[in-house]
Amino acid sequence: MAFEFTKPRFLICEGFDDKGFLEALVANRPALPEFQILHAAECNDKKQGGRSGFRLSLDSSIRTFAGFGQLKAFLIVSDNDTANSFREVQDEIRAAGHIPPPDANSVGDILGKPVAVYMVPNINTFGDLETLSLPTIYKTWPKARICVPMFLRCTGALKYFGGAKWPKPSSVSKARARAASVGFNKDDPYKGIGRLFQSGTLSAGHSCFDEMATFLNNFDAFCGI
Amino acid sequence: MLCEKSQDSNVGSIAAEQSYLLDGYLMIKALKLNNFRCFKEIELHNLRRVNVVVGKNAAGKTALLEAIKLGLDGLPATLPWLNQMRSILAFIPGPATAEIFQGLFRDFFYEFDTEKPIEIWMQDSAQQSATLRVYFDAKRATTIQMSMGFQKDLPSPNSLPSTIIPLAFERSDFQEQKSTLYATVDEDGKIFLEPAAKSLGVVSGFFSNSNFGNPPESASWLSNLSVEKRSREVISAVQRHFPFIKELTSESPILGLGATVYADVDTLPRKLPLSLLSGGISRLFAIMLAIVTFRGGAILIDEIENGIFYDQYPMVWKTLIDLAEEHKTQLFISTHSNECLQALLPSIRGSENDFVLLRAERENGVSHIAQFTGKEFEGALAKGGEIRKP
Repeated sequence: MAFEFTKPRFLICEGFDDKGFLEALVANRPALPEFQILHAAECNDKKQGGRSGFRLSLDSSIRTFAGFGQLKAFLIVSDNDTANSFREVQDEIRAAGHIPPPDANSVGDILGKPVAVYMVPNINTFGDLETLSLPTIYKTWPKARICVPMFLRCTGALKYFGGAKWPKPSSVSKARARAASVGFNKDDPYKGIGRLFQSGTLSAGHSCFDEMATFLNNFDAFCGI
Repeated sequence: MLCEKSQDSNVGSIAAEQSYLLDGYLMIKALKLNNFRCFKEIELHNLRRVNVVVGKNAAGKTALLEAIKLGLDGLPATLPWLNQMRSILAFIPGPATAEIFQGLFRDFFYEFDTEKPIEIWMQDSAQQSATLRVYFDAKRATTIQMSMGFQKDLPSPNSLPSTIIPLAFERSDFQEQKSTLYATVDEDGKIFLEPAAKSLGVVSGFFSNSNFGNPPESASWLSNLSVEKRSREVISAVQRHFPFIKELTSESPILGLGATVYADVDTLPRKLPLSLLSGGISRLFAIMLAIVTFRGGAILIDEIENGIFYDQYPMVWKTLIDLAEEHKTQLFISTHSNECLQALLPSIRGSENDFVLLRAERENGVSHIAQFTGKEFEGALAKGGEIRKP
């Protein structure tokens, strides 16, 4: 079926796991407003995912799509994995021909509609969805809290003393999440956590997601729509 | 309303525009329209060589094509002809009462309000403009005695007088030549559509969604091209799509029936009329003939996909666009089919500045046209987006 805008709020995220989580988050909290949620690779013909997929997915051709007239606002959800992450999202929006928000507390403009950027875990914390999700992952598999750090030290992802060995916190979080959930992914141990949220194995109702849910709840006011 | 940005983003094709002008090729670049069919007011800019019209049923796609045809012709005869294309009674044999006369034209006025004139303004790529204003001219009212067309000198005691208000076509062509033509009635009360030496704008061909070609007209075009030794390229184009057709000729095997286009097909011992072979092929052939015949003009095609099998769409687009480019013909083409639109992608890619997407939209009973650049059009097709509805 050809793509069209189906809801007044369009949320684009980096990848499949983010989408799986976000859909579960909205489904888990009925009070949240409706979002059409897609990941970048679903929105451009190059199937380019990740942050670099935003510019291809959000160029001005989107104004031709059915439902654009009823669309009220855009939300871009991206990993805050390094200090440059927010600026890189701004660059993507600019490269697509639009005006990025000057900071995470403001909105920009895509073809006359407000666009907000939400960085995960949040604008002040480096990491990604897995970083944000570790509390619910460890709640689901409590024993993993003990064995996963040991496993990562054994494999060299963590130092034996003094914390992370890898430079990006998000990479370490991914390693933790994959290691913790690997026993559950009997079909494909490489699978990410998106499916686990969709299946309800991981709970999107955990309090670790409250901050993000609050943002989504206040999205209309944030965007002034 | 037009988006300023969409206009600006096509400015990059100024070089291409100049090359058109150098070749003497004048495209319709802008159109303003008031009070025609479902449109109260629309304004289009930066029209291109290939203008693709989409939209839901009853949004105004056909009305837009009709407006362009009327604007280019500027002739009284165009209005009943357009209604005929829509299967609406267009000509009446006997005398017309005032009510019948106005009724023939009322549907062309926005919300049937004949007090407000139809106004069409067009600008070509040389910045020249032409205007057409269509209105009922009370100053030219004429009263006829309804004598049913006979014994006009001796009207029966029961016949009633009827005052006909002629429909004026106030024209100013691209060379600023002004004239006014009338749709009116003659002394017998019969409708008279004043002809003109030439149309208001460039020559144009209109293919309605139900018009599968006019065989005598196609035969005439084919004969003319054959005389000028220019028919081969059109026939070859058809053969590329349908290799089983060995030859296409204009024939008149039955005395008095006029000519029609015949096809020589591999498997048949006799030629047969092309329209019998396939309505779709016949229509496509007629469109190709028109593009070549109306060199430098405009071709308007409503629902291009009609009668054509889907796997032919890419080649049909390519053939029509290539022919139009070669013969400097501007195309206005509507479609309902997403498959047909997707098949346009290879042709549009790399030539985005030659295309515009026009989407007829109807909201709260008001129709308007949303305009998108070729670049946006290409991007949307590449993404597989639904672009046919707002």
